[in-house]
Amino acid sequence: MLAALFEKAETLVARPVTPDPAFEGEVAALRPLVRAVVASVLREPHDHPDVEDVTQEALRRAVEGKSRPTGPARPWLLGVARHVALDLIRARRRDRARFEDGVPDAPESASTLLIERIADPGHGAVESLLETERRARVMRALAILPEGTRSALELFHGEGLAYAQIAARLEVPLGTVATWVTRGRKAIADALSEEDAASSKPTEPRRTP
Amino acid sequence: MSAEMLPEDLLYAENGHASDVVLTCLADGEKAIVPPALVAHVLACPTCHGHLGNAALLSLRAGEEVAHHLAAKKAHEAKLVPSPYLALAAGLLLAILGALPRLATLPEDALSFGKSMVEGGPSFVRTASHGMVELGHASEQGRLVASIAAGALLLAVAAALARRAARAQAS
Ligand SMILES: [Zn+2]
Repeated sequence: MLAALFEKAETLVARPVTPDPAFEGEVAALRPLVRAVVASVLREPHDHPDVEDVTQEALRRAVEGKSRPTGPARPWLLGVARHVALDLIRARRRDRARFEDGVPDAPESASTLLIERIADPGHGAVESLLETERRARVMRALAILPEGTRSALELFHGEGLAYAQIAARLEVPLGTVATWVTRGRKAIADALSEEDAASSKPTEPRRTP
Repeated sequence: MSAEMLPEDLLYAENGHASDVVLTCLADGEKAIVPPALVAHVLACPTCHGHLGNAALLSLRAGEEVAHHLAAKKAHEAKLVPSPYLALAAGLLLAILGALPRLATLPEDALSFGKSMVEGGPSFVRTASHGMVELGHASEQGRLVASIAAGALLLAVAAALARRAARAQAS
């Protein structure tokens, strides 16, 4: 299945005009992170053969493809890896639907749903509507973040500054920047998972003392 | 020169695995500020590696959300830039007041200027001056319309320029 999927992709990805050793070096250095993202999207252990195959394919597409990132390579490359891994998941689902028609899927845990939500914003009218609501929740969460946390996120993602540069800009220690970014991410993850929390709340009546 | 590293107290979680802060740093490509031994642990430990993947996905998604947030913020700020209507109105009023004496005598001025050209100028100037004489006659009737149209055009151009300048200043 993987071979067929990648073969199809082969025809879509154009060959590079000129090799770029610096970019290729940057991509190679990000391999462990790409592998971690692929394992996370596929929900497989990091030594699973599919993880290795998808990682390899994502790196190949990044290096051999015509497009290059306009900003930092890391988010761009992770986006490529997420895309390739999601392609495989969709192919797996199509195959499962074809061969196991009528067999209900196993229920998914809240954490699995959250990772799926983070990985794949989704398509289709209903998913688009839900995604708009999710985005609105994230916007609200970002708006009420403490100033330092929001600034750190904006400088990192918006201006592409490294942690050390953010620390210098905001005149705080490096550890504070790392903590702020971590807290900001947690707030975004919480906003994305609010829907799951609401839907999985216990329905039994509260016990009174 | 040694680069600044994360402080010790932020490195490990209570269960002995890498802390969320470390995973966030690695997910953000900030490997240089994490001790190499801990980086090696994260890449080899199935638990930490799984969390690293989630942290990297969250970093990617957060980047998209923050970009959206920044774009929305910028659009909102651009909307908030007030149009300098009061200044425009005052400027326009002043311009009209200044032009009033001239507007009142404009047809006569055009006629006399045209006539003097027809009588005393060279041939090509005379031909052109006939046009001015005609213009002078026509403007007798269209004076008000022309004045209003010119005023409206002036106002539109001034509003566009002022708004663009205010936006540029705000961004
Ligand atoms: Zn570990």
